[in-house]
Amino acid sequence: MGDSAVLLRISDVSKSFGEVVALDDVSLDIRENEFFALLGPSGCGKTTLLRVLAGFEQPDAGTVTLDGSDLLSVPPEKRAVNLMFQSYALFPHMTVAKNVAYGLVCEGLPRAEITARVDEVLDTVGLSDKKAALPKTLSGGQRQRVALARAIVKRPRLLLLDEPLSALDRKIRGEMQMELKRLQHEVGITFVVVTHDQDEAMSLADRVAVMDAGVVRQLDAPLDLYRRPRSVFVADFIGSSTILRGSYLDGHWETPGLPPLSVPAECSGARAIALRPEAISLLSVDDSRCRLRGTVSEVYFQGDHALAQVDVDGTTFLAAVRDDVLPERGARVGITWQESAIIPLVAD
Amino acid sequence: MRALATVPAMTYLVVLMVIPLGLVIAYAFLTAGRFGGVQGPVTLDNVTRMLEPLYREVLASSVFNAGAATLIAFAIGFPAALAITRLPSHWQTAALIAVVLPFWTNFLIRTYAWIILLNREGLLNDGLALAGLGPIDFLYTRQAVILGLTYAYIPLMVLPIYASLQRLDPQLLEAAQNLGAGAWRRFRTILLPLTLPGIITGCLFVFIPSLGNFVIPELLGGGNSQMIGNLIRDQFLKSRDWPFGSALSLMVLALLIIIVMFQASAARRTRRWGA
Ligand SMILES: Nc1ncnc2c1ncn2[C@@H]1O[C@H](COP(=O)(O)OP(=O)(O)OP(=O)(O)O)[C@@H](O)[C@H]1O
Ligand SMILES: [Mg+2]
Repeated sequence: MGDSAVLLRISDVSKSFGEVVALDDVSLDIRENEFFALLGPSGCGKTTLLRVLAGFEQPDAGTVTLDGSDLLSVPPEKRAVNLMFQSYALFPHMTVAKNVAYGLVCEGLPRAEITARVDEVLDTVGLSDKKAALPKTLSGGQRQRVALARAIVKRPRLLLLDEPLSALDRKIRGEMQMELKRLQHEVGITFVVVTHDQDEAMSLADRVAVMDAGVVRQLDAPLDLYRRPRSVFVADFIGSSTILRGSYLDGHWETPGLPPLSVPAECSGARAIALRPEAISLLSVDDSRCRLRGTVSEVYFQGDHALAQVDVDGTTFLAAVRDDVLPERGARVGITWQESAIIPLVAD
Repeated sequence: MRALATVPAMTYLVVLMVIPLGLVIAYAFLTAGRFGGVQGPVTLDNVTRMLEPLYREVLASSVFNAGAATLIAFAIGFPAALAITRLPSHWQTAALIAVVLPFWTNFLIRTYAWIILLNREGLLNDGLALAGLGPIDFLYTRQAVILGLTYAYIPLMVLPIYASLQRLDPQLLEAAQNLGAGAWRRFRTILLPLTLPGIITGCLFVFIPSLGNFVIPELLGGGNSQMIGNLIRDQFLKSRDWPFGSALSLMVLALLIIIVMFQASAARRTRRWGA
């Protein structure tokens, strides 16, 4: 990949809590001005990684450099890294303006400059009229924006956001996602967002690292993650797909319960193959193009399209169908796909 | 029906609060009987007598002793409470039990133990002698009184502060640190204001009983460290001047009411912040 300047380099970082391995040999490069997402199921070590970067946890092994110089030896209060906490952690006894000013006061800036910068950032997040309000009088979305303002007003090199939107309901969440994206462009700060919501990661980030049990399983742009997952875990975690475990033999994929399926040669050595729903088309049973035949066992509506679950002798295939040609549940149908749409998965 | 339900509470208030307080107020404006008790005529003598330099000095010295004990108890109690909240949770329980344990043993015995430690032939002076120093008269000094008061009431400082610290979201301190605040600034701008209710409660819990205490000044201060509590007790038990004793009690009460009102207003302010 064409490299713009690397801002943060995480090399072989490991961290255990007693028996629990929270981070297992994690290596990542985060680039200047990038919107980076850490995606993974609960307990996979996302927060732990952010806390290492913010200085609240010391890793057992590994190095982290920011702008080429060692970050781990810098005390938390001296790092040019700001963290927006999942719970926002606003100071309840300070007004919105005081909360936002806190980091600048710590820097010992002149009062006039502090006021100017606080006004400016509150304007950016649209909270100019809430300066004198106490946090508990704000709505969830407003608190989130105060927390964001408090973190970006310091103009850090790196802004870490721990599930910034998880406390919001669906509608505000969508709005805040767009606002985050806009802000990131506007202030030109590198963002690292933690989330366990794949849609959020996919729609916000330039690149996404998918984590599982302390390990980075894949690091790619969102579209590549979706189109080219390399492991069963990632294919399963990102979007929905039909995953067939089995083995390659002479241009065919052998899966228990199914006849041999013709596959491209790149599937040799794979652990499993995957098909995205939109790669599978439904046909009538007597169509000669059918690769397999089965029974529609379930239909899920997804707005502009639907997912049909087709049972083929005990193996379930997921196919995307348009709303106007919905199959009946229980109907006998045929399915087919383009061979080139088959994704080989080389790892579990 | 409603009115009936308040009877127990009212009875309790009248018997334990209104009647005794009324008596004290009434006594304060009467004249002493020859063998205790009170008699006419109604007078303001007791009030004016309190303002004599001798008594003003005792009051000032008592406030000083109680205030010093409160400050020292805070200076030791706050870090102690903080250290306890940082322990793993089962150790926290053990540490809290250790803090209140002295309360379950007899107050007098604990105070006598200090005499054994502090007197001229005491353990502390034995230790100094080994180092070739001393002996020093620790006992029967104002410092000994303050030490005794601090020791007696410090658990009452630790517990409310511990409760406040427990309620404090530790992420607030991390957030402050992440924004660039060093340890002292975090203490001053986050820890202190957010645990203020507990701190004020702890200070009152130490100050109030210290101010009225007469056992510790007597045992550890000897004759030369009288506090207002000794004075009041003497009026009732030795001089048989109930009216003057009542007037002194009222003054202490008034002082404490002012302090508690201050505390209530501070508590109201912190409640505005919400959880
Ligand atoms: N201070 C700690 N002490 C002990 N175990 C911890 C500690 N912090 C994290 N862990 C463990 O480390 C693992 C990773 O935790 P982490 O909080 O990083 O997960 P996460 O990916 O942020 O999960 P979530 O999406 O639920 O927030 C978990 O198994 C967790 O129980
Ligand atoms: Mg987390």
